Amino acid sequence: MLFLMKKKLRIKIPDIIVVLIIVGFSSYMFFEARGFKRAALNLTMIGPLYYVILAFAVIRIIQSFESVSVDESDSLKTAKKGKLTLFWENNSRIIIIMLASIVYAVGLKFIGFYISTVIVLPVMMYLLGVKKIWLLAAVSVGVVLFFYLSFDLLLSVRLP
Amino acid sequence: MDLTLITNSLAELFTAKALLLMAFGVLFGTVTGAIPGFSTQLAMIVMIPYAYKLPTLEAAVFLSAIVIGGNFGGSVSSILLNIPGTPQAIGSTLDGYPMTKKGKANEALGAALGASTFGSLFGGIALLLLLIPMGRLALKFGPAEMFLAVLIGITMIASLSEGVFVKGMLAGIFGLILGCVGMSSTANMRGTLGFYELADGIPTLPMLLGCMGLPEIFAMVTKTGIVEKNSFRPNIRKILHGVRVGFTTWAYDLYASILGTIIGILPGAGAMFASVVSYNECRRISKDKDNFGKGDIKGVIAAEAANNASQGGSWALVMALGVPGGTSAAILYGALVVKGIVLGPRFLTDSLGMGYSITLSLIISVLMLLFLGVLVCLVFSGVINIPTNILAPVLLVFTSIGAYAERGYVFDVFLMLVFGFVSYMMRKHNYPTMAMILGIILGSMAETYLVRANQVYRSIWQLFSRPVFVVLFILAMLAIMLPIFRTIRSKLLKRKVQTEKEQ
Repeated sequence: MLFLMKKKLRIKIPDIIVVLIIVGFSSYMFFEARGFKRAALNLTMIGPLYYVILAFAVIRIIQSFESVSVDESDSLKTAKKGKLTLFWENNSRIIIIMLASIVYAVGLKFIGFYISTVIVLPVMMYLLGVKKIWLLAAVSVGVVLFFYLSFDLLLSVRLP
Repeated sequence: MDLTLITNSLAELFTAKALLLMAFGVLFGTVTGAIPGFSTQLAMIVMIPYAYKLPTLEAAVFLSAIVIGGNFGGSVSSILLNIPGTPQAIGSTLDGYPMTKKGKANEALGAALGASTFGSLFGGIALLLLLIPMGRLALKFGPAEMFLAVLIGITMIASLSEGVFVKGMLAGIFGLILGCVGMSSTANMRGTLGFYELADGIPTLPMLLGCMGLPEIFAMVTKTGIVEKNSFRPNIRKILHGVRVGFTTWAYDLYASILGTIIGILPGAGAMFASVVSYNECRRISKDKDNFGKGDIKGVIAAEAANNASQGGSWALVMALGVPGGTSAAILYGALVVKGIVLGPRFLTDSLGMGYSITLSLIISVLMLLFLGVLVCLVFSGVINIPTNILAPVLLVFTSIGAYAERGYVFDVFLMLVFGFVSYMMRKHNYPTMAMILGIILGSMAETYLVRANQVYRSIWQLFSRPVFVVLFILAMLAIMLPIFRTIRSKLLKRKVQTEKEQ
């Protein structure tokens, strides 16, 4: 009993999220295919694979439970608090480029390639630490010019 | 084989115009291949209006040269940035990028060039000698045999999962399920979430750019440079040394080229499939298989030789049977049909001379690649010295346009982002994303052939009366069982050593 009191179960949440994404989409595919008229044919491959994926998902979820001692768990919590304050510092550049990639894709959809590239590319570089204005301008204009000359003019590839 | 006809075909190629077209085709294919997302097919498509204006033979020779250049060009960004320039260059990322991180980018590029040349030459010569028998061999592959061939490819998921078995299997099987997205054989739309853009399945290029390119770009910004500041210098001697290694590791070259050529003649398999299967098979036979994936030059050679050799097989199939084995062959087929040439059995009787000319042009283009490829390597390899705060945003623009350009849908850019975010998360938590990619690529092929085999053959015993099926069945069983036996044996050995130590 004393042994049990000193131990705590810890779950690796990001691991579970990945498993949930995999199982979630696989379940959607499986149940959608099962609802079709000729379900057997639609499930020829998805059916067996789905059950195998469920089995591996259960194993992975069990594996993602870690048994840690209370002391270890407390120190992890303190470390986590420290980590949270450092989170932005460590991941700010990744978050910037991730957000920029979404903004750029939306820009491609609504304002087209040239305008969105001229706006997003220098802003992205500036936020990542390039402060020289001439460099920001040169790279942005260079990239746009490259695409205009090669894709648009020379190769006739339609840009968004 | 008619030697007089071959000599005449060769003479037709030695005109200034034909040679210039080949050189331009190789250079264009290599440069566009090195741009992430600019696939060989896209390079061919954008040049089709120009090819239409050329005489038939010159058009075919020009388009073939683009393929030769593109097959190698894709490996440049695979090796330098871990972003496959073309889908078939996926195998080169596995050992090419680790070599770059070790400061051996010059050697990796050289080895890729050497192996590409070896593979293409092997494929070209095989095509020349076996044009007619190879076409006949392809006819022996029914849906059941094709399913087994794909199954052998799928066994690579197990090798990619070493050390993280459960995660690898989850990723690989998830990939196989994702491979089934799109219109099924019963005309039902599965897993498309209502997006008609997914009706043909998950598009390969946006998926690849998302799974491999974006996580690399995200990871890139956490560092100031890919290699230590200005520590890398493009070096022609090291590139040429790599080329020599690419040629002299002949056992791997030969094995990979044979596999590549055979896979090339299988309809629908293609260069990308050849590249991953050959990488896995060469790893399987290698004495130091543990080094594969950690920057082993043999890994680059295995992937590149097979990817390029598959072209010979693919061209044999399209010329002998009129069946385009892959997208590049389909574009060549279309271009020739417009010119009034119908490929297939009649092509070999009516226009065998042209067949030999196209084959010989592949060989000449490869020799040109050897020289032009070195120049491209020298120019492009400097890219890894660019600071990541400039390189990453620029690469993001290139990958986005690469994802968009093939089909012209902005949807594909969003799809790339979804794959990018999921893959980044998977990579951060040790899920082998390569297993998922392999699953997606092979999933749709596996399902198509499995469903067809189910419909064609009434009983499993009927299948065992087909010799090719029996051979492939034994190979597939060996591919599945051998890694399991090896794992059990190594575990038993470890236990034995431990007990001996304890005693």
